Amino acid sequence: MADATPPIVDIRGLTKTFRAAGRQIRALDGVDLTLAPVETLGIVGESGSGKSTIGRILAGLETATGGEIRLAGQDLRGARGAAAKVQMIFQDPYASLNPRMPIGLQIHETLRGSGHRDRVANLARAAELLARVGLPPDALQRYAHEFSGGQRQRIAIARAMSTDPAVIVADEPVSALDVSIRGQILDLMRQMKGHTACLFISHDMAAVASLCDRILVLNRGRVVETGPTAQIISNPRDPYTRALLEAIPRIGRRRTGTGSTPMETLA
Amino acid sequence: MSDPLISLRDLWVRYGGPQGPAAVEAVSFDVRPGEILALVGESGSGKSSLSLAIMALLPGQAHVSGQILFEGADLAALDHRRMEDIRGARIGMIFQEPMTCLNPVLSIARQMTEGLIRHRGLTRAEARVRALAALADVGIPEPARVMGSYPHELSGGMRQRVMIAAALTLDPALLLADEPTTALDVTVQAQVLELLVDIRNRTGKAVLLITHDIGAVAEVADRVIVMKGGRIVEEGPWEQVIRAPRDPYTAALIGAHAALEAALVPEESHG
Repeated sequence: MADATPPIVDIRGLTKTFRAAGRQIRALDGVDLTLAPVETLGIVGESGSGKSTIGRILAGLETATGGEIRLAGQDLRGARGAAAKVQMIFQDPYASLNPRMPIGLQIHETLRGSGHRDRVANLARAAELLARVGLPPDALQRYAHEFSGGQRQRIAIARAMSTDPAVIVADEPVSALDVSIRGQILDLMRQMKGHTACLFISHDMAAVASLCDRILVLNRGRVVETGPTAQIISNPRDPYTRALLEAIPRIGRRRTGTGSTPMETLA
Repeated sequence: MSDPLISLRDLWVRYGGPQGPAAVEAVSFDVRPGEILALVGESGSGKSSLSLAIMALLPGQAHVSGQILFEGADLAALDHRRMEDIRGARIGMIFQEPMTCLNPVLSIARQMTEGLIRHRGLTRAEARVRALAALADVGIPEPARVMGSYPHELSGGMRQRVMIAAALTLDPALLLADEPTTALDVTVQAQVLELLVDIRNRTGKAVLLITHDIGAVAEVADRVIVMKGGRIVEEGPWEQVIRAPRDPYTAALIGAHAALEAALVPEESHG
C-alpha cells in the first residue's frame, strides 16, 4: 500500500462500552484501523467480536465511547455531515428496503438525503445504477418484494453507490444468500472496487479473502491480527486467526469426530 | 446391506390443499442405521418442508401424500397422539436455533429430565443422573453448572450442545438435524459437525442432516441427496456426488463453494 496517500478512514483507540444487566460490556477495546481510498478492508470475527459496532459507529448509527475517528481528514465526532459520506449495505436487504416505495423512489430519497434535489436527475441516476448492478430497466418502478434475495442485495448496492460515498460499510452482505448467489454478489462488489473504499464486515473468512485487499481479525473487541490478505491466509500468526481459517468447511477434507472439544464454557 | 431405518416413498407436500403448489414432489429415499445421510439444497429446494413432514410438524394447510415408513408405522398416516410418542423418543430433533426449542423460563435440568420422566418413567433423581451423563457426553465441561442454568445464560454453541444432549437422552434411533450449524459461529459449527460424527461413531445412530452447506456435507456425509425445486436431482455415496457430480445443479453448487474456498488456498511463498 502506498503510504503517501492519506487514509480515507483513520481510527485510533476506538472503544465502545455497552451497559447490560448492570454490567459494563466492552464491545470495542482500543481498535486502530486505517482504510486507504478505494481499498477494501475485511473485518472478520465471530459474534461478539465487535465487528458490526465498528461499521455502525463509522456510519453514524452509534456513537463511540472513546477514541478518534477521522474521515477524509475530518474528525467525525459531532460532525453529523461526515456520516453522509458513508453508506451501509446490510445482511438482510429486505429489512433495509422500504416495502411500500418503488425502488427508483427509494434511491431518489437516498440521493435527496445527501442534497441532490432534482427528482428527474435522481431517477435517471437510479436507472443507470440499477443497470450497472445487472437489474432490468423496469426495476425502477417495482417493489422490494418482487425481487429475489440476490436481486435485493443488488438494489442495496446500487442505492449505496448512488451518493458516491467515500466509504461503503458492508455488514455481512452475502451471509443470508445461497452459495450460488453469494458468488455473484461478491463478483459485483469486486467490480465496484476502485470506485470507493469499502469496509467488508463478515464472519466468513472465505468471502473476505476472495474480495478484500487487507484483512483485520477482531476477537472480543480487540484487533488480534491485520495484514494483506495473502499474508493472513498463508501465514496467520494469531491462534484465533488460525482457528477461523481451520473451521471453514472444505471439499476434500473429512471430519473424524475426534475434534469436538469445546473451546468455551458459560457465556 | 441392512434394512432401512426410515423409508420415504413417493412423498409429496402441497400447500393449500391436494391440488395446491408442491414444495416436495415424489421424493423417495432410505436412511440406513449408522449412516449420516445429508440432504442438501438451497432456499426453495423443499428440504425444510420435507424435514417438517417427517416430524409431522407441517402447518395445517399443508397436504402430505405418500409414505414415511419408520419402525413398522407410516408416519404420514399416524394420528397426533402416536406421533407424539415417536417424536423425541424415537426420532431426536436438532434445529437451527436452539432458543426456539428450549423453553426460556425453565432450567436446563428441568428440560433435560422432563422427557425421561414422562417417556421412560424414571424418577427425578434417576433422570438427573442420565441428563448429567448426556451433557458430559456432548463435551460440556461443567455439566452440573449447566444443569442449573437457563438457556439465555449459555452461548449459542453451548445451547446447541444442550439441545443435542437433550435429543440423545431418550436414545432415539434417528437424529434429524435440520440446519444444526447455520446459526452458529464458524468455529462452533466445526465443533458441532465433529460432534455429530462422534455421536454416530460411538452410538451407531443414524443422522439425517438437512443443510444448505455443501462444504459441511462434503466433510461428514456418508451419502448425499441433492434437492432442487422440491425434487431429488442427484443421490449417491459422498465420494461420487462430491467428486464426480452427474447433475449440473450439483456441480454448480460444488463449484460455487470451491470458488470461495479457492480464496483460502495460500499462494506459494515468494521468500
